Amino acid sequence: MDQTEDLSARVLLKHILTTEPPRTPISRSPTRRSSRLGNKDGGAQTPQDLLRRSLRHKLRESITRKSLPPPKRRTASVVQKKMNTPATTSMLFDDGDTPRHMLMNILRTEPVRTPVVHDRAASGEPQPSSTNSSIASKRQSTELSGLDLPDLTISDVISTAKGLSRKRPRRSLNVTAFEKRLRDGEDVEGQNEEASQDNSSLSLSSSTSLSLKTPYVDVHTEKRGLQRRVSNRRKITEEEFGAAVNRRHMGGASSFVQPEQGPSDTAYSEGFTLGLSKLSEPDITTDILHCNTALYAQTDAMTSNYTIVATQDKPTVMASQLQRQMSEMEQSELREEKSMYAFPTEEEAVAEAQGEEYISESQENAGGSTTNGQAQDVAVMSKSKEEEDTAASHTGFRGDTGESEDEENVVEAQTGEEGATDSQADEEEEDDGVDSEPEEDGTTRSQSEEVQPDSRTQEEEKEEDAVESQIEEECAVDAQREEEEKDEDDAVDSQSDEKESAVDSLPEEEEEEEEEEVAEEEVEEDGEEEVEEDGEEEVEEDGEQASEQLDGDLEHISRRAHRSEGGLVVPVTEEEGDLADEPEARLSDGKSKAYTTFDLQNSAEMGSHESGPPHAGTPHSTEFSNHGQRDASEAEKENSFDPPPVTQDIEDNGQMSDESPEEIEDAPSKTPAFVRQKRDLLRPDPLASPSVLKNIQASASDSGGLPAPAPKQVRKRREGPSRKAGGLPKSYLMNIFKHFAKTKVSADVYPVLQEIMDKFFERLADDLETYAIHARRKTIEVEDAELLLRRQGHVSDKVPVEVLIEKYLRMDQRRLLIPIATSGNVVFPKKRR
Amino acid sequence: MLNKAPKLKHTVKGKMKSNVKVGPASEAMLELLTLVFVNSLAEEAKAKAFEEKSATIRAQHLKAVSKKVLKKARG
Repeated sequence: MDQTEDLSARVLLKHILTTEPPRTPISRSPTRRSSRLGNKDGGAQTPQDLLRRSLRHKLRESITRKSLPPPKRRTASVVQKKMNTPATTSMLFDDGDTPRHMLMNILRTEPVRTPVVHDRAASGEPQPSSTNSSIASKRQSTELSGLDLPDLTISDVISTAKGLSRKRPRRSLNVTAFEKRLRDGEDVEGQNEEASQDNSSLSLSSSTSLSLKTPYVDVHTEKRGLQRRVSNRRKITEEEFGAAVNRRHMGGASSFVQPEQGPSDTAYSEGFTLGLSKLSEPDITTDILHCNTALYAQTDAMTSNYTIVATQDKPTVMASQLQRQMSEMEQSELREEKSMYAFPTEEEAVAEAQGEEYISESQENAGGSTTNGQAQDVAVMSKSKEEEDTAASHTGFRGDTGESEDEENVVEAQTGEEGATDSQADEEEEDDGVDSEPEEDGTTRSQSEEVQPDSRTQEEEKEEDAVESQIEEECAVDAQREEEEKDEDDAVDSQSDEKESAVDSLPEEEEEEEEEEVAEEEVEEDGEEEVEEDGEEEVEEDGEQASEQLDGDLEHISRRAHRSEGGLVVPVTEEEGDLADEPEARLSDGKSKAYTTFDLQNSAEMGSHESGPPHAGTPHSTEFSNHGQRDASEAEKENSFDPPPVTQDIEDNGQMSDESPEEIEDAPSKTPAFVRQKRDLLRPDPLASPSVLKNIQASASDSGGLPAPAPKQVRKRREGPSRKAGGLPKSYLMNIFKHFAKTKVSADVYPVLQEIMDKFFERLADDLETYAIHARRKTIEVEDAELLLRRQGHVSDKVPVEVLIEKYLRMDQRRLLIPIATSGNVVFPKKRR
Repeated sequence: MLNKAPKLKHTVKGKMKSNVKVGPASEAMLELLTLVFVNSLAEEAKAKAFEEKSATIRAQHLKAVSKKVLKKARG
């Protein structure tokens, strides 16, 4: 049986061919054979004829089978079975159904007769079949010789099958040779021999079962076989092919089953059935595939649709944003950082919600702002932008809920420049809130900044830029105003006088700015925004002063921006709903706290100034600003988050907030003027903003690129020195702290952190000085610092300083401290010792 | 850390009472000192925040630990 196993599919097939399983229910051949055989038996058919027919049939089957290698291969076992069948079917041989039977009969009956009596064609056909028949004959012979050798038969079959399968020509050769010999009238033995020879010849390539006689024959046979084979094969192939095809059409595997019959044992049939099923499935599968494809297409379409939708949403947004950008671009060239980003997002949201109105306005403003010196245009621009910005900021703070309200507010704001008045009032209030702690401002601004960045995008920034420019203008105006009036009463009185409030706000801002050094870049940005907002309001109020104030300190502007942001926050909070509940609720959140603190600071510092300007910026927020201010004040009171001074400021703010409403109410009527003023302010803003930023960043008293007039520069210088007395830059501090903390750090830690660092530096300087003086030196040296570290416990005998140095410091610093040996026996830094 | 600690020297000098100079290497040491201090600060604050089951360091956490850390960095 090993041989069988080793056999390839071809061999197996051959076995199958040889062992025609007449039992296959599906197979027609048995019936045919039987019929044929029967006929044959009935008629004076020579066993040779029968053999030939059987061979032919087998060939066809083999061909068909070969066309279907897989099923055939499967049926290795089947083949084996079939192999076995011959033995069992020995009885059937007598029946003559299978070629074997025929052969058997032949052998039994008339072994001597030459099967090759018929025409060549007939012989040709059976040639391949003859080979099979020869094999079968061989088998039969063997079987005849002894049924007890199924193995041998099988083996023979296998070998023969191998030979057959491997080399068809050989078959033919064998057949031809066989036929020849038959014709020659050789004995059956000879035939057998031939058969054996054939087998041997066949088996030459395959296993060596029998002696080999006929290399010669092989040659001839090969040639002839090849020739004939080709022709024969072709015929057969054609016929069988067509048959196979038809059968396939008939019933998938069944067709295969039928021709093969032999292999088509139950297993085969089953396999074929399976194949049938499979075949049938392909249709289904194909359909499914088709469906799938359709589905896929649909899904793709869906996805595409989705994408389209998504894209559509964006474009619409982008469109609005672009418009704004356009306007903003004209107005301000600044592209600011996060704070600005925060604003834009808010603004965008609001703008989108608000619709094209603002866009158009902004556009108009933008157009107007292009021409510098057009105060009115600037005012308008500023106002519109403020509205947008404030609205955006408001919405950004609140979310989506406030948009509608913002819209309304914006509309209102537009209609009336109450905001301007309110801003004035706020400014006045802020003035009242003298206790403007830089920290608070910084924190709030930082907070606001932090809050804003999330929601803001560049577009908003652009808007903010515009706003900031406006604010800057306003700040300038405010500064001037501040100089003029610094009384709270003025603020109250200036309800009608928007200009005064603006002035007050400005000076306050200046003061605060001076106090705060922390509020640098970020603050500046926010401040700018706020300033813009404030400025917008003020611009509206004071178009003339705006130009002057624009030159004012950028710092002021930046801080104002922060404040305005806070103001924005307040109105936002209010807008949504309950004044008390919402702000409180918001305050509960960290962010809200930030906002509140922001508001607080704003209120504390500028009081209603911040809220006012932003409110003014957001005309709609004017009314809300009032509420917001109140809420802010309330929130501030409620949130004892800020240090006491803040609370005090809160109280002051509360008072101021009360005042602001009055101003705010008056504002609406003056909006057109404000708008114009804003426009004017906005024009110079783009020029001023970059310079403002520079100033802010540099915290330099000298306003380099500012086209600011002398007073503004003076202010900046004033602030510079005072500022530098402060602590580290906020961004740096927070960055370091966050890096070391490795967890989220809320923004409200900044003022506390600033305070701590302040104390720390104080002590640090003290200790170092002491050490240096103790060493009778006038310069603080490394050893002094090292000693300090040692005393602090960070360095010990076991932990050298270098460890710390390596851990914390940058390379350039390390190089200073730790000697690095380089080539040439050079060591950096040079050790003095 | 990766940044340059702007105005650190200026800040520290502003705090100094008597007029002492600061060498370049000492500037690096100053930075080291501040970094070490802020590190300890942040660490303590983080612990405190975790104590209060908050993943975010808030100002109140910081305030609570500041005094302790400042005292530690007294030298």
